[in-house]
Amino acid sequence: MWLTEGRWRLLEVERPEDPYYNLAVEEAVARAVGEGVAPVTLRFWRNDNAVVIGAFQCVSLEIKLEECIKYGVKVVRRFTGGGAVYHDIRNLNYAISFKRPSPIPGDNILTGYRVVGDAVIAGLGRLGVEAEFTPVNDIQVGSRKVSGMAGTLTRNILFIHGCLLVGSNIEVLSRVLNVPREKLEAKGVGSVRARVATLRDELGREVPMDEVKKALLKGFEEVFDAEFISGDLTSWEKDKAEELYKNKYLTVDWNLGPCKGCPHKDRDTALFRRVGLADQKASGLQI
Amino acid sequence: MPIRKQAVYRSERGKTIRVCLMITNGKLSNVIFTGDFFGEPAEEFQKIGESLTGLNVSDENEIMRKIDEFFKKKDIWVAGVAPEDFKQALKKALKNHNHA
Repeated sequence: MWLTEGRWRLLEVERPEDPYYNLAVEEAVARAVGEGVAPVTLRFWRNDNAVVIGAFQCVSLEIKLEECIKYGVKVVRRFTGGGAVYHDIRNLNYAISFKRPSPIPGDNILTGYRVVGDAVIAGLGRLGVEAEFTPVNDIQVGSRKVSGMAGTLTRNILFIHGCLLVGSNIEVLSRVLNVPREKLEAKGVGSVRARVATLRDELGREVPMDEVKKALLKGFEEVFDAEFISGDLTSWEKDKAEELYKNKYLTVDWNLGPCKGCPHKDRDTALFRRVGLADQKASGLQI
Repeated sequence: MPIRKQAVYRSERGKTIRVCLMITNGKLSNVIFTGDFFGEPAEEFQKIGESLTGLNVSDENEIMRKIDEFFKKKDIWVAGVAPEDFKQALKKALKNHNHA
């Protein structure tokens, strides 16, 4: 029904200070769309000072936890694969959830990155930034990455989200992420700093977040030939988000992830308890 | 004392697999695959490493067969890497020097 009507939902629900809640909402919306209880949804949202790690990544190998403690950076694991990213308030996240079969050609995630990438690139073009899609899941300006995407494909969901470096603090980003040498070499660079760029760098000015959102929205409307109507979370989504928040995203087990048998688990758990500790306690993190 | 080994393997498909493993008395005692690949169902991927526990490190064929077996399960979806990359990553780790 939603697809044929061509009227999709635009959500701007965010709690920048609470990345655990933001990720809970992200998954709740994807599930709602997959279940057919919500329309195709585009969401714009922000975290303030958080590392978001991929579903299959090892926290202690990918993130410099000591640096996170030093800079007050919170760490949360997302439900999609891909690499760790740093979010601050000058980074914009976009997410689009489809019920399968989706309008993405082949209903395929790798094509999905390309098509969603086209929407973001169209939006960036409106801002005067010439960007291009770089497989598997990046958007680059020249050789530098401005946006990375991640996604998942389940029985009933095709979901893709990404982050866009509008004016982020690259100094903190490069200190908290521990990108493997093998990955940087494959990208032809020697450091994270040389690998990324912000819209501020490209345009030589601070770009207001509303301007970026409007441009991206136009890009999504163009590429998907759809009209987005501003909406809010449904009660189904609010309940699901609350459940996921408490039982998944606020737990050390979920956030430390796949390394259950790791000999360094105790050390990592002790470090993780100190990451953004005051805020975690305030938000009820089970530590 | 178990021997520890690690490897980082970059797939031609564009994503990275990391392997951390332990060997006790010549047998794999703990194998963990992590990385920036994409897959579903997420909780299943921990089972690749778990399925290798107890295998003799000299029996590479059996180790590789177990990895193949995992990916033959229906409903396993992976992108950005291929099943072969998990095998190559593990082989690389086994060849690497011991890790502290």
